[in-house]
Amino acid sequence: MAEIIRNAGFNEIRFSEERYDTFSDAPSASSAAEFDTQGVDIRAVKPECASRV
Amino acid sequence: MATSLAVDQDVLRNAIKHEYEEVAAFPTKGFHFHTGRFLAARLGYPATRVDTLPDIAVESFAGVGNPFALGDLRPGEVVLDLGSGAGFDSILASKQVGPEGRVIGIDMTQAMLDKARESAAKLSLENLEFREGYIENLPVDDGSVDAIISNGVINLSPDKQKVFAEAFRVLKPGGRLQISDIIVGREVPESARNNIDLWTG
Repeated sequence: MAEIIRNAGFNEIRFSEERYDTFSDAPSASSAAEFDTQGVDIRAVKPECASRV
Repeated sequence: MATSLAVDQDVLRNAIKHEYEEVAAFPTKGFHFHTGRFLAARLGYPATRVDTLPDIAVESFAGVGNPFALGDLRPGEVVLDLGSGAGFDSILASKQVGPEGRVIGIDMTQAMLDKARESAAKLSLENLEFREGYIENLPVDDGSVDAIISNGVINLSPDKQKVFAEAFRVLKPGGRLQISDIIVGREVPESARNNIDLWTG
């Protein structure tokens, strides 16, 4: 994910240390849970000097 | 996270639209993800912000994180919500940016747009609008946005590079992404990437 964001031109990419247990105990079984899926917060900045718009 | 088009984009979009039409109409039906006030509390949204909102604004919330945990939005900012759903995060954002700011929510599911607009009207939020569109082709001007929020939506796109390229296009220089999404701890095999049920949850 970080690579995709960087390739788009962003910098200062930061992933939160906190991970969210998003799918466990959901009313219906989640296929996503099979792959150790977690929620995360992500921050990134478009450079001030960005030339690509 | 898959980065290439592993499934037919139209088939995937229709499956996702159908799923989220259900979330809009029957939020307590029981999905493979949590919804509503229970989920908001689980993701750390302060009760002081959520408890004041009417049920229609919260019940179809289906995020995976908390974009506001990365910092509040500033008064006067222009904010874009990618995949705004029934408008929960957009509404919180509109209160943070205040009357001098503006929030634009983008979603492809009509039932969600209808519900979000009804909530905004009920709360008399005049700095908030919802537009129909795809996050891979944003109906937003170049360099016009201070911050982009999103919650559990970008993972639903089979073309994430295009999503972030569009985000880059519409942000002002110095503008920021403040998003929540999912990461996988285990490699997802090619067979699973072609499974529509996995894409939708």
